[in-house]
Amino acid sequence: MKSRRTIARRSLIWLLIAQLMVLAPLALHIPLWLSVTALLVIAWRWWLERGRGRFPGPWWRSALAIAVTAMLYVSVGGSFAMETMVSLLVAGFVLKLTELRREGDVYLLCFLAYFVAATQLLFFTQFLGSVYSLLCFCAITGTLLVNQMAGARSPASPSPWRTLAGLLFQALPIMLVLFLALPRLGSLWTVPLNSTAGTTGVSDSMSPGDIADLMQSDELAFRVTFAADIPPAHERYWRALVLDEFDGRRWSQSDFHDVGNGRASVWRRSDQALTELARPMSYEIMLEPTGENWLYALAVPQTDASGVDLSRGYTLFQRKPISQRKQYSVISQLFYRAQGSGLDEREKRAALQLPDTGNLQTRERARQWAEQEPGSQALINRFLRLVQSRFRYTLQPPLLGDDSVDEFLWQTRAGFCEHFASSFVFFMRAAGVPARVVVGYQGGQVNPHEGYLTVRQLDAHAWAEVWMEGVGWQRVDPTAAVAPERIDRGVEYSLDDSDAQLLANAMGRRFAAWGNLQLQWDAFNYRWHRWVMGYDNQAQQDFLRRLLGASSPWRVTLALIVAIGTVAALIVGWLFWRTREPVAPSVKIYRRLCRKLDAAGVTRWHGETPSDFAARVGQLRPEWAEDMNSVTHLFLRSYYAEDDAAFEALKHKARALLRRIG
Amino acid sequence: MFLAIKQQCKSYFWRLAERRSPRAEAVVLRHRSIYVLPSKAGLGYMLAGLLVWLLGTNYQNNLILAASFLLFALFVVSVLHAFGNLSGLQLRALKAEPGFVGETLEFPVELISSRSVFHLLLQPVRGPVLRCDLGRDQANVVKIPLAAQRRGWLKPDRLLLKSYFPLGITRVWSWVYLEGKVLVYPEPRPAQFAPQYGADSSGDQGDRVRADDDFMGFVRYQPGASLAQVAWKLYARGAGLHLKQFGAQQRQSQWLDYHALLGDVETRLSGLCFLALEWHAAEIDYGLILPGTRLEPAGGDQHLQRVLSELALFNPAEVGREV
Repeated sequence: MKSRRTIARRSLIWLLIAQLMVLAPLALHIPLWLSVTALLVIAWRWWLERGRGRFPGPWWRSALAIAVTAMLYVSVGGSFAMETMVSLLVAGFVLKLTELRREGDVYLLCFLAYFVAATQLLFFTQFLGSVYSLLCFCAITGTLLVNQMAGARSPASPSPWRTLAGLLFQALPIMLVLFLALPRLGSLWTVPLNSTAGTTGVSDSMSPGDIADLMQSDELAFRVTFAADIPPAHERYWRALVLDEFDGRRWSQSDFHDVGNGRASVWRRSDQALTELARPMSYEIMLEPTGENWLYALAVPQTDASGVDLSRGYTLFQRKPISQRKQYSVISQLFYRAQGSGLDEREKRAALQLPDTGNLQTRERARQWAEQEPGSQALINRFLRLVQSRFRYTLQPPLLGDDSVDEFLWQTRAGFCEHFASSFVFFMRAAGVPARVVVGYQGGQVNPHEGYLTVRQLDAHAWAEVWMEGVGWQRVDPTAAVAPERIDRGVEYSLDDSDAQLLANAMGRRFAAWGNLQLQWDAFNYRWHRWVMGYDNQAQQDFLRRLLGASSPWRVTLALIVAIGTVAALIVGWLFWRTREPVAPSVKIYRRLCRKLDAAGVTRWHGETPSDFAARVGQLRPEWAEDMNSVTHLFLRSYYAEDDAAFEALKHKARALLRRIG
Repeated sequence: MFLAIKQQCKSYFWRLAERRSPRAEAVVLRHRSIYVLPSKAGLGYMLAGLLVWLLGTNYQNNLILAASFLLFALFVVSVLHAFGNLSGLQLRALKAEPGFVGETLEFPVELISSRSVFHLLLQPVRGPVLRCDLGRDQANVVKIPLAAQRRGWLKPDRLLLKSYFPLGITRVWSWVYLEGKVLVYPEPRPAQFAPQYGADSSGDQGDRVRADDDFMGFVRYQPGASLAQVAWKLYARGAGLHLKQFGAQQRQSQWLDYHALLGDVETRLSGLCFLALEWHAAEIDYGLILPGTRLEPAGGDQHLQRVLSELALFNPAEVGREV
């Protein structure tokens, strides 16, 4: 309805508050100047409402619209992502205020507000964020309601709060049914969520200091729920990438392993012999958005998740960057023998690659040791013994020069996991043993409340893999030799105090009470994500099968109709029950009499007055005439004249007559 | 051809609508006669809901999907509330005051409901929208304007009752056919007296002016004068009521005689109506002669109403002869 009446002040207040509520959390995701403009326009519209100033003419409005569009274009610079769209929406949403005068204009603004409020949920999916969005929806619906109630003349108008609460309370069960039963369609087209957001977590190359930088972040990387027992910490190596190309300082992926740019080919387990040495382990990972396209899993993973592939380095990756929280299940074979019979030429070349120059001391020593030791395993053990006896594990290693491996191994002898992994792989390659660096996370904290595992950025780790004849790729973690508590308990237990200061949230991890609260809250949020955000087609099928016995489409449709119909019937019932007419006791008595007469064959016609009916009863059944007349008289007296004495007499007489009839 | 079909469909539609809500003096709105559809704003609302659903589907975000389901659920609940708002509303046609052709009459309708009814809009077929809110069990009388175009009984056309409560996204409505009627009197308008009429003089039609009397001049109108003596031309010029003075004055009679006026049926009835009002105002007793009807001279409000009713309901076809 397009009403031409001027918007009432009450609806304007509701509208402006709803707008502020909708815009507040988005301020983090739109350009700052746009947030400021929005605030100014809202304040100015209120200023106008208070009777100060005049509405701008069409010229001013167009000028403002053009200015905002131009600024938007400049600030987002032509790239198109969801954040751009949200900014555009917000701009339109706010500028519409400059011509908001009539009741009818409120609708467009409210519908826009619904959509903008929904976009909040793209960025805030925590439990509190969802509750906030629900509040926004309430505020917008309240605006519609108040706008509709504005100008009511009846003093009987109810409070909008109560009506609003009623509407939402009744809508929630229907929403729940739809949420549980309506099937989900896949993505229809791809618009990246944000164009500028940085990536978090492990990156696709590793230089000294990279992983130590991650220690400063307590941010969640992912959470894992195991189907059975959680494996011990020293087996929880969450691999992301295999880095096998070294330029003297930086490790990166060779063409052979580069999953990020799609240069590496997909690996199928059937391609190469994989011997399973134990029962595989199944678990579910909920990965926080990283902006990268690799996923985390224990070696050797296998997954059904759509769009996710396995690389030759036993890592998982997908084509699209992970811009939203991703949930996937994996089955991993923790104990395996793979590629034991030999590496193909290309892979072998990649696994032995070294830069042409540099680190001469290490090369020389590696050659010597290779000659002295009988096999790869002995070589590894000797290296680890060296590390164990002479090295120090620290977050603040001395700076290294050009020959970083030489300086680390033979001079400074203090470093972090990346130093150990890097020099170990260099050493092995120099000794002629195929080796590679693997990066990812190690360990993770078990949440005692829910029994899941939380892996944070400061669990980032780098380790090595060595290929041995007959055994295949085997994990070797030199960090475990120098700092075993890092592997078994976590990084915070492996550093001395001055290093621990550098860790993020050192306090939370050390003080039990605060940490416990955090753990509980995290457990709650995790549950929210798993069951609400993660309620996908598969979960839905399972749920419906458990509920209905089978999840065939017609069964689901029927259940949907029945459920929504029941809710609707309850609402209608409530609407009528709430306002049903009270029936006077005298009317009840008279109705009972009519029913009795009906059974005896004298039916009162619709609309027949009691007096007429009494006369007709008298004609048809003269024996009841007298009683019927007096009862009718008493009924009329007690009902219309509200005569209590007549009511008492009516009760008495009616009972007598009922007896005579029956 | 197309127009004819459209017309046909339209009339069929209205017959159907009327069958679902039959004409009655008091109407209680029930599910049979209440219709609910999304309003124009409701279509916008649904579009917003659809866009939210698309957003949720595309980003596979369950919370956004839940938001779109919430919007849909709100719509369903809104439809139920809209229906509940109108359902059980009772309308009763009250007695309407008669009026004259050309006036806008008021047709009072009493609305009452055992529930509160919010933001009810009433709209006659051709007329303004009236807004009304009802408290629980509080009768509210709404006066619906009716343009009186013809004399006789005026029946109100169907009345559209609608409401956009609670969110403005639903339009719930009902067509109500109230069995009420208002009497419309002819428009009081001076008519011309028939000069030749005097030739035919039968006793039971009262005394008449003789056509061959000499005209003497005008005198101010006096109560009791025959209508045949009124100087209508002078009156039409705005000079007030005067009587033509003839040589041989007769005793003035008090008859409103249909045959004494010139013009077609409606003109004569308008003239009679005009005179009846004048004489009533001047407190003259008068009788009425219409083809097939005769009222003896009398005075007072009741007599005026009887006379005006006769004029309003006079049906030349019923009289059975050319008049």
